[in-house]
Amino acid sequence: MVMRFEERRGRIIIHFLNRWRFEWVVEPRYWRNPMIATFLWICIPLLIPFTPSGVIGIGPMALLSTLILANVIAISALAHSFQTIGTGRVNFGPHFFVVTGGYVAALLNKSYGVDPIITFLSSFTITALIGLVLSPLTVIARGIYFTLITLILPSILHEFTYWRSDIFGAETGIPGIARLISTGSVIYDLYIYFYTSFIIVAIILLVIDKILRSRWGFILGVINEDEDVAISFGLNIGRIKMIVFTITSGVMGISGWFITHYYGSFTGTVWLEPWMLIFILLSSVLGGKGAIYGTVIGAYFIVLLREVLRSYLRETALLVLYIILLVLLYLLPEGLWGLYRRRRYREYMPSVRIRRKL
Amino acid sequence: MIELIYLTIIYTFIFGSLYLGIALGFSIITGILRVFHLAYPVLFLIVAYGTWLFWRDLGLTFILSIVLSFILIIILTPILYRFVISKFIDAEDYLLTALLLIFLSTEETINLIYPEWKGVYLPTLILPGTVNIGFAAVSGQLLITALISTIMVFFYVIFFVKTKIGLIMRAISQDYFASKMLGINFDVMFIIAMIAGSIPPGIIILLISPVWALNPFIGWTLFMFGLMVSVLGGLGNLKGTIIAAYIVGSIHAFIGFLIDPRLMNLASLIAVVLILVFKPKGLARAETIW
Amino acid sequence: MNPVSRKGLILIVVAIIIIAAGYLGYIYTVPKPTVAKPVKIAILTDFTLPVLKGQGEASILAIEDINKTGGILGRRVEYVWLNTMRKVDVAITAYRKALIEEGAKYVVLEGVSEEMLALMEEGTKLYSQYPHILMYVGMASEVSLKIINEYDKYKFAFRMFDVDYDANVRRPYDYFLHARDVLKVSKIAILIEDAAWTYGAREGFQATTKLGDVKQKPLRELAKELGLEVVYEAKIAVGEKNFVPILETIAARGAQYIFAMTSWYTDCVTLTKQWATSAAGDAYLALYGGPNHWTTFWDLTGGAALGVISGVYDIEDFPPVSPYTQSFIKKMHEKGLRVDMSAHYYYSLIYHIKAAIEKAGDPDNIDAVIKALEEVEFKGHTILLAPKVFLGEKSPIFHSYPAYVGFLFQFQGKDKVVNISDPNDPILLERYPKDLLGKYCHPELAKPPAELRKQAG
Repeated sequence: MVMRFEERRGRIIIHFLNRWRFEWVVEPRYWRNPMIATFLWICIPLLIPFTPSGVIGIGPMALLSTLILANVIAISALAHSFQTIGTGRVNFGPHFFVVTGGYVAALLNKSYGVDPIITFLSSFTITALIGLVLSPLTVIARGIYFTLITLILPSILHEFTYWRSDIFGAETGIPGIARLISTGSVIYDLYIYFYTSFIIVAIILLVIDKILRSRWGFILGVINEDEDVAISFGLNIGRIKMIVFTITSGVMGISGWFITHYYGSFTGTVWLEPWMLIFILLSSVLGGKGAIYGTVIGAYFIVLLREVLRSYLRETALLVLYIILLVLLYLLPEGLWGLYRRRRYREYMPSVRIRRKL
Repeated sequence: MIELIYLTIIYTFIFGSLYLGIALGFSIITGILRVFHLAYPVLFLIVAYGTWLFWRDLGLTFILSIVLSFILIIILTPILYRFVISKFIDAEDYLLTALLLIFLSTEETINLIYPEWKGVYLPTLILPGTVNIGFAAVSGQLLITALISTIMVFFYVIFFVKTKIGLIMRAISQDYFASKMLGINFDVMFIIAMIAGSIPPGIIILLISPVWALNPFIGWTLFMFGLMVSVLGGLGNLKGTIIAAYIVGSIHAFIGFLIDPRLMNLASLIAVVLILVFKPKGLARAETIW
Repeated sequence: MNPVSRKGLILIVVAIIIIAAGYLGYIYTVPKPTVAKPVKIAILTDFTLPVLKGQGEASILAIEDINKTGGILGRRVEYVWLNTMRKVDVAITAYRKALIEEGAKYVVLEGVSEEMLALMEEGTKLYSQYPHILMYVGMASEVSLKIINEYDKYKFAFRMFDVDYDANVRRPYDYFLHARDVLKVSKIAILIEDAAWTYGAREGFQATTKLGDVKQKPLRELAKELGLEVVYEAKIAVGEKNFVPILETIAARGAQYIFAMTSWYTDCVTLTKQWATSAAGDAYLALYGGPNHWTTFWDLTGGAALGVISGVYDIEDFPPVSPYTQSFIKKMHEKGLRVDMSAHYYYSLIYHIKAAIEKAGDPDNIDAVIKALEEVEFKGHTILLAPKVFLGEKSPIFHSYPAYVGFLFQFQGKDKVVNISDPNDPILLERYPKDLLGKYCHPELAKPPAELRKQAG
């Protein structure tokens, strides 16, 4: 029998081929809020055209474009968040992997006419391979050293893009890339881009959630809390960290892939600037420490905030944005997710604590 | 060719000393507080634009303006420590993010008040033109900068080796908990360390402003030099920082004069990363300030 | 609490999707009645960076001036400014907003090449529903190559500037000619910013287009053609701060003249300061683009600019190439803004649009305006007076201006920027009236940097 259902108290267990099992807790209190949130997440963008005069100063087109960018940031931020949980290190060069993925997609498509589906796989694979090469750093470089080494990586890539401007296009980037979608209607295209990126974010979110709720999540939590204890339990923490780093690097590359095929061009130097680091970092930090759902909320919040400020303020938009984010760091010690979590029973979620001992 | 080799040797000293001066404060703060001070670039900007503000906008004398800008740093440092560093000391991701935001906010603020076209400059040229050293004519201002930077480092080394406060700071950097047991007032020591680490960037920006651009965005570039040197040297270790500064200086001089100046930055970045792969904690043997 | 009805949930979701799809179909397919409207121009720029702010303000100034004289075809010109934050993703968002929500038919983009290339791609999607014209002032040969080779797809894009492979030959050539004939040098050093826009200047560039072949020689060959000896050539990294090895090597090789092909990506201020205090300080330093276009370059360098040669577009007695030239500079100064070369172009392009719209007869007929832009000979440019200024030359410079070759100035003191161009320069004589050149160009006033420093004490 391929699939078999088993009902137990409060849950349904689905067995696949008598080998794998999938548990779904039926009790509403566990899935009600996620379902409502997902429903709103899917449906609210559909209401945008009904607001032709704009929402909080942002017009419909700008709003849709902003939501798409929020998804792009969320993809990288989720991967970054999980990477931080899984390795116990804060990567200050996530945009290095985003740009690597972007360039892989751009070069393959522009030079060899490779289809976006294949460039998707290539971006993930090649970025993950680069992540694999760099992954020993998670073991040999502790704490701040890791942070600083990863901070240097984007600078190296930046130098490379200018040094080999014939390949990477330097400041002009690589234009003329095939788009993912082209229906002939701007609004339909934007919706398809939004829902495509939404699906990617949702899949990543689901996968990470499943991992964190499983035995592996518990293992990652132990590694995060105290590596010595984890070693004493017989865990090969080096291997686990390297695997997590490799895969999450590949996921960040997907972000770059999407940017390339969404805009139809890719200029890595723009995405290597500090603002991209801040957006990814703050999505995780402001979203809530170790809270992956909060990361998505954080990404949406920051990108929307920037767009609102851009619409209302002129020269001071960026300054006000930084100040607001700084103030929020003080006001929200648990992040945006903490506002919600305070009202809920706390399930076990690995917390992120970067040990000060170097 | 001989002349170029000669210049390479001389500029190894000059570049190395310059980068050492840039990295010195960052190394001290990291070594003692064990904090990655991402707002360090702000120090360059505060001294440079603070001096301009007091001098040109408020009409004070130039020397007084310089002094006041350093006093401004001394006033702001405990505030930064009290409200940012000590608040987030146990949440490193928050701390790093907060410091980065402070830096970016300061940069944007200065850009709004003093955009590039306002032509901010500081007349701190001490030795104009060139100085003949053997058969090479070397930039006078850079030579002075290198010499002053070297002297400054020497005084800091003396401070850490010979003075009581310096010894206390070394103790803190060697063993945090043991020092705590001895009853050291950490807050006071950290603030003193931060102030001590804030002086060198101020001096360096004043010295190099006749030979470097002065605009609101120079902080990050200078910081990257300092970061590279500090990371290579071993965070928070002055000996390692000194060695690393001259290694980076020699790479820049060698590549710049003898290979291709275009590759200076790339070469030093790659060299740093490669060395860190084999020595992840940098060149230093110990994780202490000295 | 009772379990939520899943069926009901699904029904609601489906209903919302149907309603939304229907509404979308209605609002985006039903033709709207045309109403006489003002001519709307969207200006996309970042106002925090001085050079980009100058570009935006220059266009706004032109719009205000045009409105004072009755607008275009009796219609008022309205502008909407949209912040790009100098980021591609924000620029695209602003572009969509400009066309779809603001209803702008003319989009003026800041001089950032990567944004232009990205917007051109976006524009191919938007054009069929939202006909418009997209303009910018900047480099990147791909912009022109795309327009020429895929005209139907990119016809809405115009580069209101000269193309790299044209300008980066003619302008440096004139610098070299001036170095040889006026400054009497024979040994030069060439420094080139290592970026995409200088590729042709570094390596040479060849391309086949539907309107002819492009063949660009590297700068060293241009210099050699004029009998100059290139004793040193180097690339400058974008954002480079350490020019000392370059300058010392230049001095060691005995160069008398340093030509630096720079733009706003190069730290010209640091280069100049280090040049002034280096062994190469006695060689002439000629800069191409960057803040050296401003008279405040003197202040930026703390006086180290003494002796630097550059195009300077900020002086109020700039040769009056057009009736607007000097008044434009004055008005920008009154607004507290500096003027570089691009600012002149951003001011002038608004007038060029005006001329094209007047020829086409209808600002809403974009195809007609595109055709008019390609045909009308524009005579109101504040600095460009090439043999014929129009955008329709059927050659590899199609949809771009012919190369600007302008005046060379030397910084000789605070508030003392002297025009040292040669009035007998054959390239300048092709472009400007002889009497204008005779009146404003004073090559006899050119002085070596060492002499200027000596005079300054």
